[in-house]
Amino acid sequence: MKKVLLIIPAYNEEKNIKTTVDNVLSYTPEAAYELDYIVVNDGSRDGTGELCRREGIQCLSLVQNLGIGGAVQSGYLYALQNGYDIAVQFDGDGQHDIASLDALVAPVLNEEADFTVGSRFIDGTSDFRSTFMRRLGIRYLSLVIRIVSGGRIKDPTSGYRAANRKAIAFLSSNYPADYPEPESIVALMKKGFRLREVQVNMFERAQGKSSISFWKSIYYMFKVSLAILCTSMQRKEKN
Amino acid sequence: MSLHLRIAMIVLAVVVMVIIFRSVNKKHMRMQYSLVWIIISIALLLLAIFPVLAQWLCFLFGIETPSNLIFLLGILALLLLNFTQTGIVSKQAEQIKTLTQALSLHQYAQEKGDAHEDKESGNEKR
Repeated sequence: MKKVLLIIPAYNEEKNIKTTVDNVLSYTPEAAYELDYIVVNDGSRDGTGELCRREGIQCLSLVQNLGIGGAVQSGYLYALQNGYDIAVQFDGDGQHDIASLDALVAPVLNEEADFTVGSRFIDGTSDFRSTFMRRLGIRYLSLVIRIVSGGRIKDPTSGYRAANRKAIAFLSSNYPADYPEPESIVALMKKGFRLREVQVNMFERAQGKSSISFWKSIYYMFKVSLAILCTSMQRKEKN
Repeated sequence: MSLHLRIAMIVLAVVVMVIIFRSVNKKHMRMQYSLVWIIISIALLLLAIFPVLAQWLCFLFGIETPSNLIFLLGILALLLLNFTQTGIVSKQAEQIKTLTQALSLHQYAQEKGDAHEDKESGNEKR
């Protein structure tokens, strides 16, 4: 049976992490795979690490804060070192619906895709589809990705994604530091990985504010556009 | 180029070289990173000792006075230094990230190993 690892990055998520992990544990997959998880505590300043120890939550505590990219990459490294077949990125703040996991993992399980992106925008069934401005930004990024790589990804900022062994190996040594999602999609496409987008459900975050404020969003757009362009100029590899 | 400026340049170049060599000897600075500084101070020294060099360069680039040339070269040298240092910082950030991940994964594996052993020894007691 294939082993699936949920990588749950958590930075100052003491209010959400227990609920998230409980939801994961209460989920029984319909498809045939073994589900495991690892919380990556990215040097939280609140009680996230302490809470995980107390509640017996499997928690890889980074010795210092690395940012979301470094944290997720640590999860991929863990998946690689421990021989998982599939790694799934899953937010620690309760935004991602565990009920969508089967759908997200299916194309990777059936070896139809190397990497799947959980999208909110395929058929409009997701509870949460973000604000107008965010959707505008997402459309723009989606367009940029289409221009530079030809691939259609409607929700490139989604952090709910699944990777097979080959993609795990690639991402564990090549993962962008900040705002990594769109950039890593382009990198994967460039390297000839087969990507597939899958409709998933997401919720509005339960606690805490989104990590992206107004000025940060300007920086975000600029940095991510630049990163996509840089990545797209890398040499293409044969499949 | 005035004599005052030339003397100031020579003094500055010598002071910089002394500081750099001392730092390298005391291992406060790596040899490889000191090279750019040493090249800069040698250039400063040459320009001060042979003003004709500066005049020739001015003529070549159409710069009116040698002091302007010194400013231009100074700014270019700083840009070069900053560029190489950005490269060094980026490389080190990558190395620190890799180290952090390796250490964290190692610690986690050890913790898990310890917990496993505790369980096993607990079973034996029973």
